[in-house]
Amino acid sequence: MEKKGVFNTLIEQLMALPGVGKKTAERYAFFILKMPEEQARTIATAITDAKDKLRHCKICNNMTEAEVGTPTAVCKICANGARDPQKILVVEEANTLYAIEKSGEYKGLYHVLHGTYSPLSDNGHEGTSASINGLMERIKQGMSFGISEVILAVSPNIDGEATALYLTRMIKPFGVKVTRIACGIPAGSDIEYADEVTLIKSLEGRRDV
Amino acid sequence: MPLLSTEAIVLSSLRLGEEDKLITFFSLTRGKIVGVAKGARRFKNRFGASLEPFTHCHLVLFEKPNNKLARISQADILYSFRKLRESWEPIERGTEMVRLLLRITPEEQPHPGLYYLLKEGLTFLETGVNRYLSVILFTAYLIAESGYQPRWDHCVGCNRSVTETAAAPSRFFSCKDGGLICPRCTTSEAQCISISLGALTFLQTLSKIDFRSAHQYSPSLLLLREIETLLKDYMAYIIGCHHLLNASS
Ligand SMILES: [Zn+2]
Ligand SMILES: [Zn+2]
Repeated sequence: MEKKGVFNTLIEQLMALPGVGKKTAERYAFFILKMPEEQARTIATAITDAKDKLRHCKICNNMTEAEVGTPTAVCKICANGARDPQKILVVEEANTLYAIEKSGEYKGLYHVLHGTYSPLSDNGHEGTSASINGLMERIKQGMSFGISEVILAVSPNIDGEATALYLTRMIKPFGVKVTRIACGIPAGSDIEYADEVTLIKSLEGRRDV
Repeated sequence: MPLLSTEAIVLSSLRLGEEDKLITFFSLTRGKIVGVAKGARRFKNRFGASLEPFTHCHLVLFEKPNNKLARISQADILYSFRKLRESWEPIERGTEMVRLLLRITPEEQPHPGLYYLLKEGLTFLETGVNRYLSVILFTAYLIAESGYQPRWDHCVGCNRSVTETAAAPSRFFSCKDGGLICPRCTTSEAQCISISLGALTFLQTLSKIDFRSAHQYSPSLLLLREIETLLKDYMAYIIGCHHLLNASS
């Protein structure tokens, strides 16, 4: 087999990133070549560090740093005694958690599902069964100090809908309040372009002003 | 670039990469088709809720030569069937209907009969009088509409009328032959399912009326269970044959 060459390997590897096609990968590769060596090494180390040290938090599945060689860890949010342990906000992916954290408005805890329950795909909720079990464990254990609310921040599509219905069915018997985030017109958009489903959903989710 | 403009029902929606969705439709003019919705996963996208499963929409697709996947350029909701996505039972039952249809239909073969059957099926699920019955009736009419209507009146082997054989304790359905088979014609290797007189009578009735009228009946749960099992076995046999055909061609 002919050797590919360092430059082509770099391009190929960059193409593994989402949204990066051959053209962009080439552009990135040339840019990296021109970069000071120090900076290029920093990027490379950041990537390997992320893979070596980042783990899923053993409580909420959020991303967290751990010492190399330690299998599990607890994230900063779960470890923070100032957070309200009576509220758990359930998200599909960790990026929603980060977006909510950026707002600084929410003081409770989280639970990351890493996916949804999708009735239309053949494997159903295989991908999320471990994280859903984890959530149920937390709720059972949390009964002692009184978890008061589980907030479902899932997508307003059929998978999110099914996930919400499934979780509600599981959680309700514990007497815990289950709420779901509002769904409707996106902030900053024009209402005239909203379709009927979006409009009806936002009408249903209306509130007093 | 040829343009396809048709009404369609969304069967399934899958994530495709970071920004796109892969949508399977059952369309009025082209049967089962797959299209890519570029940017449909982005927060603000022009598709809104129009590509959610069960949605009845008007669809415009661009088809590129040499590219199997068409691109969805526009989808407008005609009827959203949103109530089907808001509680557990309709999601499950609707999914069941869609799965059966997906499995039995080949791609890109127009079949208006199946299209209207699906639309009616979803309508019955939405009104929700007896959703279990609706799915079983849907299965029966899906089989018939796809060209596999079983023979419920004569033995598939000797063509004797079932009234002659009905007295016998053994009434059997043969998946392989797609119909009733009398004890005389039953061979050891034929996969036969025994069928009760009640189930047979109901299935005979169905073959004479349409899907909508069939909803006026309310058979017992026991009878429905029996018919469900029989139809599912038959479906599995039909689908198995499809796979063999596709594998050999
Ligand atoms: Zn955590
Ligand atoms: Zn016979």
